[in-house]
Amino acid sequence: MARFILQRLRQGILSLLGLVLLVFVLARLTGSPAHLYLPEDASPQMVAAFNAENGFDKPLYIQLVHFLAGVFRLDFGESLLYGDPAVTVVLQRFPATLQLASVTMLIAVTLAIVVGAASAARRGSYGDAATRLGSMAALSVPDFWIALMGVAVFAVYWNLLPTSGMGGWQFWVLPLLTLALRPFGILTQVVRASMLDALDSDYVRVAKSKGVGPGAVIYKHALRNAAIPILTVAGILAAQVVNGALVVETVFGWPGIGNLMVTAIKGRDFAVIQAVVLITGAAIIVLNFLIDIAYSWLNPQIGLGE
Amino acid sequence: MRTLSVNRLRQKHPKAGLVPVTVAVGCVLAMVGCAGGTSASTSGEMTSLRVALGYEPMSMDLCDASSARNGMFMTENIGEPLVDVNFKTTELEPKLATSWKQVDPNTWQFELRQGVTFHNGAPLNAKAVADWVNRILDPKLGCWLYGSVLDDNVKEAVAVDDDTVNITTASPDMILPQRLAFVMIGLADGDQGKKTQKPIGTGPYKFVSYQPGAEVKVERFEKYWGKAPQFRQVTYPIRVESSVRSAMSAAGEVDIATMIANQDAKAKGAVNFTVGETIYFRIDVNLPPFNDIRVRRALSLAIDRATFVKNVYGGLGEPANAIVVPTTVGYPDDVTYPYDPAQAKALLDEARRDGVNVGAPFKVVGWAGMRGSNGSEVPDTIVAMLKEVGFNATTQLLETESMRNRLGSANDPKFGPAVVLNAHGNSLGDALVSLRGKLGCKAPQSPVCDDQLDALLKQAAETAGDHRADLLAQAFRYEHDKLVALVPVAHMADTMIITNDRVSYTPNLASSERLDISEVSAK
Repeated sequence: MARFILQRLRQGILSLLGLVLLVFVLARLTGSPAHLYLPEDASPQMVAAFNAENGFDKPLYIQLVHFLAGVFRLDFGESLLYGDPAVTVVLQRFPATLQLASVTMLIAVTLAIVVGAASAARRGSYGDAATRLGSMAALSVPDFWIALMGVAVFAVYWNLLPTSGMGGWQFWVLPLLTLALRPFGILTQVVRASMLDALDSDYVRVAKSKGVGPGAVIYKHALRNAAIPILTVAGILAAQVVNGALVVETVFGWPGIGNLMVTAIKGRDFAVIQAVVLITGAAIIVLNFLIDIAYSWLNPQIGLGE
Repeated sequence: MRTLSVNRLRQKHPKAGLVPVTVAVGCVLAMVGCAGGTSASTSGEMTSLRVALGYEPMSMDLCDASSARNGMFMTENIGEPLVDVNFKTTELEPKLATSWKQVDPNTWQFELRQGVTFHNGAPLNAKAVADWVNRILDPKLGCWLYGSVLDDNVKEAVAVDDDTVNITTASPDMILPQRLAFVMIGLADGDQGKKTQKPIGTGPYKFVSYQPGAEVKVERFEKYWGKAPQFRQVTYPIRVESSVRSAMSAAGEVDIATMIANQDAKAKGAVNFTVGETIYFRIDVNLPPFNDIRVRRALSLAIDRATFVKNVYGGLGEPANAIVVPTTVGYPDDVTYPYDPAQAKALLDEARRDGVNVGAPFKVVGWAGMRGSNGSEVPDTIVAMLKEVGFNATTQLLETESMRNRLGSANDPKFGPAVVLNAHGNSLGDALVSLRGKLGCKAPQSPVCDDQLDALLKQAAETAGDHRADLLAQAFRYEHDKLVALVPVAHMADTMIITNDRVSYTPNLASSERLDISEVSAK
């Protein structure tokens, strides 16, 4: 176990370093953000003063050395937009995204397991056809369209929910529905396919022949064996939900890192962009690590790389 | 944090008894409070106002208040200028300064109003004002005011006594008081060399909080020197999607939704108004084929401005004959930019016969973030019109940073000959800033350096009154007749949605940059 953790830690640090370097270089290729922070008629002297003040006048390799030295102290520099340390800005916004992503995945996974397993158990029925059609629609519909339709119908027409913002439970409904729809669609299809394989397997037939009830067959025997692919896809989707909350957070004014990322990219706020990428990357690496451990827990035959 | 406004729902659906019940149950279930967010007190008096903004603020420093991103909540609300401009009459009025005069050609003197305090309790005095103005002039701080309103001609501010401030310029600036109408006076607490996180002004509202990506809140400043404002609290939710701001208004969540896109301009309560912003294109006059004035003139004659306004902006806006709006001092009443494709073709034929390669390919460069433009619609429309008369133009769409770089690279052969579309705002009400900033020899964006034009602008800068207006109009005529480097296309319009059943507000020329809450009244 210790060897596994060390190995994963080493891989994670290397991945993060590569990621940060890539983002640093790509961001700097776009040039100095001086023109975004100064008025259109700013003189060349003002532009030069801005660049000097923020270190953008130095050669790229010097900027890189300063940046890397800062990264090891978790100091990404100061946000051009907010004037605070970039890490502080990101950590302030991270919980909002994490909460939204966690609840989204909880809803998507739970519903997908129930619906997908039920659909597989009644293969060929009308319910199964409806599930296949519904899940395909759910994963195909663009989230920005769902978001705007949700606002138009539930907030404007029926006046049941707020259009946007963050607050009590009502504010969560539309962002959650929008964000959960696609993972739900994908996972439902994965659960159904995995369950169909599991239900055709020998151990299920043996369990049935021993008189085990259908509920126990599906949720105790088949589901546990079908869980590995579900977990794999759920892990990928969770990472996508954290990263992909951009549209949902922008439309619903949800003050998370998706919203922050859009603002930081538009504003060439390099420090914040780099901090978001690193912190999100670290979170995804931790998530993958937990998924690896879960594999081993679900199926003890799967070792942890030893 | 805001919860659903129960009173608002009642107002919209008086018989919808279930809705408040649902909300209340939800609040209990979620263990969240239901306080806040209501706009009316039990007596029915409106105590709070909600205004949806379309931008994330660029900082919390009053020295950036001249940017629309900050101006919408800061200008005249948190911060106030020394001199105020009345956008209905365009006259200057006293604000934090009770009087002002030019004591010598390069010095303006301002007498401060007495009994004014900043939101932190500090008194307004000459030293505070001088420190603030000098802070703005520090290029390291990168204030939006420095460059957009004040320039390097302004040298320094000096406190003469407790109530008198002198501001000196390198050369005479006859419109310095007018410029100062855009400089909100504030206090920088803490490090003077850094932008503040909490704006401190003298205005009727003091800053309460800023939740990035979510909202800005201000509340009534009880010790305000002027008339107490009507609303106790103003909340500015930040929603970058126009359709969401429009929906917020339709759902009764905000009283005013600003910066509404064309597609929502017919929503209930939508008010369209002309802003001091004009679309124009700049021509690389030194690069062939545009180094031939006939080709440049043909570019202008090919543009059907009325159709442009109708098709691109849904009829909102006006065809333009200058890069400033008609109420601006120096607007040239006798200059016109007609649409005449036959004449454009004739000029191109003439140039072609003289060996000019009028069929050379060039780009029409557009900015993706231009107000009211959907993607490349603006440059595409211009390209289509230019092709009609025989130009070989294609669209190039740039995002903000690239666009700014492109604007600063006039006549650069690296980019080839181009027509660069841009929008220019002049809410100052005086054309000198526009002409100098776009055509002056020192202007980074200028595609020309013409001694005669520069001399005219210098003379105008040192002149006041009608003669100044004549000189500026003369400069516009000169550009139209001799240079043809900037071609105006259309004066733009903006839209805001005002929920007429609760509040009333009449937008003015500056309402896309500032929203003075004292001009909003509850019904």
